[in-house]
Parts: sequence; structure tokens; C-alpha cells
Amino acid sequence: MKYIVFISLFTISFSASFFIYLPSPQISAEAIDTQLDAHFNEQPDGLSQSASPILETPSQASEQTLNAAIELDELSLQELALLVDSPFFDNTPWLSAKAADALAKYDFLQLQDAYQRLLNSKIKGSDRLLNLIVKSMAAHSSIDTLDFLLSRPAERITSRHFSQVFNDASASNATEIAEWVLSKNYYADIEDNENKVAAVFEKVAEQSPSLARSYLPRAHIHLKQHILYGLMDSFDQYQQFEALVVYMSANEHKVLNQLVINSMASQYPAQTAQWLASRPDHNYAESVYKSIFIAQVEEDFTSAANWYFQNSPDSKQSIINTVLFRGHDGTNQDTLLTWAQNLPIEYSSYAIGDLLSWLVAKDIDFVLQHYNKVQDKGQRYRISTRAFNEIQREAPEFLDEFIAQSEFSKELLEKLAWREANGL
Amino acid sequence: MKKRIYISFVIAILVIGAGLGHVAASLYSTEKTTSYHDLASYNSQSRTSVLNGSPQTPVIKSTSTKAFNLQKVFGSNLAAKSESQKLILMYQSLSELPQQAVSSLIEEVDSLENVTPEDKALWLVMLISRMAEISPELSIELVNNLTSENLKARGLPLDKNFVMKTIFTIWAKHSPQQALQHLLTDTQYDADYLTLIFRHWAAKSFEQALRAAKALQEHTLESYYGMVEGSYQASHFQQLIPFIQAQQSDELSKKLFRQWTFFDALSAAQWLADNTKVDEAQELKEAMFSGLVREDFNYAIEWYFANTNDSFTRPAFAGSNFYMFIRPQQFAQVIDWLLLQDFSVFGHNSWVHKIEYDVARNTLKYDIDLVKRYAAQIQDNRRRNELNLSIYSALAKQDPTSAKAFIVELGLANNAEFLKIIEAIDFRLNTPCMGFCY
Repeated sequence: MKYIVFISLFTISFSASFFIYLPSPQISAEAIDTQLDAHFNEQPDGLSQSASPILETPSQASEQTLNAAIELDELSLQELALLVDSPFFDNTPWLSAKAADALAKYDFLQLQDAYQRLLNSKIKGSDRLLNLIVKSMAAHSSIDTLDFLLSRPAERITSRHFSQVFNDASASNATEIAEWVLSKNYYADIEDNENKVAAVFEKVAEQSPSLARSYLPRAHIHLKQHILYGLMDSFDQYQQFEALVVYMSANEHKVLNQLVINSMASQYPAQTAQWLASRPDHNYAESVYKSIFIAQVEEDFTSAANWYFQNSPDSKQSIINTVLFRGHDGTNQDTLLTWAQNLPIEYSSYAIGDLLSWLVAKDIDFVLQHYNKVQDKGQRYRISTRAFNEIQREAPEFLDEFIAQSEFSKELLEKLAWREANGL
Repeated sequence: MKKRIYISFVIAILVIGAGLGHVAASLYSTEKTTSYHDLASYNSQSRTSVLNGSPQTPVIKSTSTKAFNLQKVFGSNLAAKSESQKLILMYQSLSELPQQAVSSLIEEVDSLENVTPEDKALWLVMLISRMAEISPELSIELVNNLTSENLKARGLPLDKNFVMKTIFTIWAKHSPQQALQHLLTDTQYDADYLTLIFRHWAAKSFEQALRAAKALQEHTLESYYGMVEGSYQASHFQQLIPFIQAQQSDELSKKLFRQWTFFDALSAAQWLADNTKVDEAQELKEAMFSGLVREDFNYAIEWYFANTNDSFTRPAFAGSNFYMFIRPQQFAQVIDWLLLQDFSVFGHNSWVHKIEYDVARNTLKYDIDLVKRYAAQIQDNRRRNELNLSIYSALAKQDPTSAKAFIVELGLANNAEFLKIIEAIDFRLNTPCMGFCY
């Protein structure tokens, strides 16, 4: 009995002591799952991707600074920079993540301060760390980060960071970033960054064409084209173009209106041709007619060229140049020749000459076969010199024969002598 | 008496029980936390490391895979996150896992549902990286078992060499000596790995790395490449020079001076001035000029012409884009320097003209008045008028009225030729441009 009492007393004192001194119990698997859910769904502050400017008051900001676990001092920056330092082409995501995780503890102002200090230092690995700092700043507020980068003298590295933050922010919140661009002074803030910011309007237009269109009245004149490009990229119906043209002609600069009409012509050539025909009293720029021709030339050369020749306000010679320049590569040469021969008599010879000039490099036999159809001596001379160059380069053994038979043999011999004298 | 002995005995049992209970509790707790103590930490300094500070964000510390629902973390939650958010979340999930848990998770990557192959590959890299912190040898073994065919069959867009270099980078940053030992006893790696190790070693502990590099019998060139890449102080580069020269590699020498110039252009320039004759190392001096310009414009000019035989009017660097290295903070200093130059001795579009064109026009973004004062002192009509037009354009972008006032100020309000150009500038500013507007 005594022994039982002793054993009981020992067990009680042992157990009591064990459980008193044991650290708090391990979290159960279920509890951890719950925490994980919270961790991944609620987005802790350090990771939230908000584009809104920081609205905290100065006192809140300084409180955060004081509360930060560790100061982001020079030693810390060196430590982090060394951690992520790697050759340009090597990237170790784990180490980047480790540094980014450490940076997530700091508030925007601390990161901004660190960025400025690091930018002027030559710490090993500073390039990669600056990238991470900028990303951490953007995680607090993309807008504040963009404003901060704009406020700095334009150096290559800040310019690169601006693009990085702008692109990331545009991908996640195009509308807010587009509004930010529109709110800035174009010449002071945007002009030098135009090639970086333009794409955001395309993103907005993809999501909401009507919203993108609503930007037009308040956008700077040099930004409107980017809005229009985005808007037009989002269109999948001819009527959308027509509606935009109506709006543009009443409200916007004629250059921009022309841009829309040209795009409409490129995408909907047949409808645009009808649209033009229904407005005989309007003088539209030649480029619209050219766009319609270019959009249709591959499908049916003769029909497209005839329409263009008959309707374009441009000079006939210029039309012929355009038709043959655009058509000579992808169209059978007999078709091209037939088209040229069928033109009104006053243009036909010029068109044949122009065509043969283009075809010298492609089919010299064809050119020589039809050479005599060219009436203008100047054109014949141009064709002959081109043929001379081509034969000298590709088949010099036939050059003497070609020169002897040419009506310009004297000029070609002089050319040859000059070239030989100059070692060409 | 017997009663007293009995009570003493009971107290002794209670005390012994309590003591043993305490010891047992401590042992139990230590056993559970040993795995955390084993985890590699990069910072051995006594101060609190930025990497080890207590985070604001909750970090889940789990000791087994049971406590870590992989699919939940791998799942759609991550899909919507940006790349950097994703990496941080992955890191936070894995950074404290012990070896056994990491091993198990590596096996689970393939079975994940609703995860893109790219994310699976990233998870695998992150898990292997975590393993590299705990046991680099084991992580290497894991990667050795990955073949290109195997990765392809698993649909993982991952390069084995990339993963292996990731491991060595982590290892070299933490324990370069051990990483080197491993490398030297295994023939499967190419010499690039040696460069990698010495790069990180030199950055971490230059003297130690240099001793190791000196002790190497072969592949010394690669190790010195690493030493150069990892160096960042003038004293490092100075110490390296005799060893680099012994390698007889122009490429490596150039690399050393490029690197030195990047970190400390002034000391690099001083070394070359002290250790080469005027007609020597022309290529290095020319290459160094841009870096020096960035640090101290006046010194760069003075140094270059004092240490080369180039003529002042036609130096070898004239064809390069050296002027683009001038920083906005230096513009005022450069404009002062320009005022002292006699442009008549230079040919058209000389290097000095390039500086004037670039700096004066870029200064307009920050200080129009400075450029106005500079333009007023230019004697050459053509240069002055061209600059005045740029000033007009800059002013017109801010305030058309002050731009017009500037023309009056210049006395050119009735100059037809000038006004024609002004008209063209106004047209450009007020007409939409197609493409990008410059």
C-alpha cells in the first residue's frame, strides 16, 4: 500500500511538472490548414497589391517606421544585396523570394528611403536588390511608386524600374493606371515615357471599349492615338468603326479621324469602299483609298487595282506606282502586264515601263521581251541601267552582249569603264 | 520520528518527480525544435539579421507534411498572384520546413491538380532550393535523378542545369568551401561552376576565396573569373592584378578593369595612371572613360588626355556614346565646362558638340533658365539659334505665353526665318502624331 502511494505521488509530481514546463502544444494539422487558408486568402498587408496611393497620415507612417522589426540600415541592405547578387543571366528564385520576404516587413517610406540610398551606392548586388525594393514598394502602392520614380532624375535604372512597375500594375489594374496617366502633365511626366505607357490604353480597351473611348476628350493630343489604337484593336464589327468615325469627325482632330478611317479601310475594305461611295461630297484623304487597295490586293489584284485606279484622288502616275510597287511581288507578271496594257492609252505605256523596272531583278527575260512596249525614253534608260546592274552582278558573261544590243550602249560602256577604273 | 522520516520521503519523491518531469519536458521540447536549429541561416553576425527578423506577416511553422496541405497552397489561390507575390508566398510556405517534409513534398509536385506546368516547375525549384539550404548534397542527388527526358515526360519546363546552378549558388553563398570540395571531387560539372563558386565566395570573404583560388592546381582561369566577378572593392582588384596578369588573358584583364570601374572608377583610373605609360593600355583607358565620366566629368577629361596620346580635338572615344553616361546631377558642371571651350578648334559634330547637344537639351527638363543663360553666351549664331529653338519648344510645352515672350526677349519676334521654324514647332506640339511623338 505504501509503495502504491509513493508511486502515485511520484507520477503526479512528474506529470504536473512535465506539463507545466512543456512549451505550448503543437498546432494541429487542421489548425494549420485553417491558418494557411487565412494566410493565402486574406493577403497580409505586406503582400497586398493595391494600386491606391497610401493614405496614411504622417504620424501613422512614423509609427509604422518605429514598429518595424529591424531598421533597413546599410548593413541590412548589404546583406540583402549580397544574398541576391548573381551574374546577369542567372536567377535564383529562392534567394529573390527570401529577400522579397524580408523586404515585405517594411513600409513604403522605409523602402523608398532604402531605394534612394542604394541607388547612389555601389553595393554588390544592388541592381537586383533595387528591382526587389521597387516591387515591394509597388506592392504597397503602384501609384506612389510610379510618382516616386517620376520625381527622380531620369536615369537608365529608374527608367527601367518605371517600366517594370508600370507593366506589372497595368496587367493587374489597367483602369487605375490609365487614369493615373491621364491625370499627369503630358510634357512634364509622360512624354519621355510615352513608349512605356501607351500599352495601358490597349489593356483598358480590351476590358471596356466604352471606358477607353470616354478617355478621349480629356487625353492629351499626343496620347489620343494610343487610346484609338487600343479601341480599334478591340473592335470586331464594322459598325463599331463607323460609329467611332462619326464621333471623331465631330469631336477630334482630323488627323486622328483619318487614322480611324484608314484602320477601318484596312479591316473592312469592301464596307469602307461602299461608305466612301455613299459620301461623294466628302474629300477623304488618299490614304483611305490606298488602305482599301492594300487590304484587297492579295485577294484579287486586278479588281483591287482597277477600283483604286478609278476612285483614288491621287495622280494617276502615283496610283500606278503604288499598284505596281504593292503588286509586283505577289502577283503573276502576266496579270500585272495585262492590267498595265488595259489601262487608258495615256497611262498604259508608263505603267508597262514602271512594271518592267520592278521586274528586272525578278525576271530579266520577261523584261527584255516586253522592253519595246515602253514608249518613254527616260523609262527605257532606267530599265536598261537596272538590267545592266543586274547582269553585271548575276551573269557578267552576258554583259558585253547586252551592252552591244542596247540602245544605250554608249552610256552603258561609259558606266562600265568608270566602274572598272574605280575597281567596282 | 518514523512519521517525520515518512513525510521527508514523500517530499523527496515529489521533488524528484517534479525535477524529472521538468527534465523530460525540456528534452521533449528540444527534440521537437532541433530541426529548426539545423536550418541554414545566412547570417552569422551577432546583430539581428534583416533576414531573421520577426515578420509582420504570419509564417506557418509546420513540422510535417500532415500539417501542410500542399494542394491547398499549390491550387488556384496562387494563379491570380503576381510573380513576386507568388514567390514570397512559396518562400513563406517552405522556408522553415525540415528535410523530411521537403522530400515528401518534392514527390507530390507531379500529382498537383489545377496547377500550370510552369508553376509546378517553380514549386520544384523552390523545394529543391529549400533542400539545398538544409542539405546541398541531398538536393544535388535529387537533381541528378532528374533527366531531360524525365522532366519532359513530366511536362515540367525546367532546365536541369539551371536547377543545379541554383543549388550551387545557395551553397556557395552559405558554405563556399564545402561547395568547392564537392565540386573538386565530382567530375560531372563543367568549369562554369568553379566561376560561380568563386564569384559568391569572393563577394562573401575575399581573402579566404583568394587563398583557395591560389591553391587550385587547374582551372585557375575560371576561378579567377569568379574572383573578378565577385570583387567590389579597390583593394580586391589591386590584390587580384598580379594573379590575373599571370593568367595572360586579355579578356579577363578587361573584365577586371570593367568591374573595377563600375565599383570605383576613380581608384581604377588612378591605378592605371600610376602603373602604365601614356602610350600603354589605350583600349582599357578608352573603355574606362565612360565610367569615369559618370563619376566626375572634369576629372575624366583631365585624366584621359593626361594618360593617353590622343589629340584633344579628335580623341578615340569620340565615336562612342560616352556623353550618354553624363548624369542629370552633373549637367550644371558640364555646362560650366562647355562655356570654357573654344568650339572653333573642333570640327563639325565633334565630341564637344555632342556633349553640348545632349547635355543642353536634357538640362531643359530640369532647369530652363540655366540653358537660357548658357545659350546667351554662345557666340556662334547657328549653335545659339538651334539651342534657342529647343528652349522655345521646352517653354511652349509648359506655357505658350512665356515661349512667345522668350522670342521677344531674344529680339527675334520679327525674324521671318526664325518665326517659320517656330510655327513648325507649334504645329508639331498641337497636332496629333502617329507612332511615338518625339
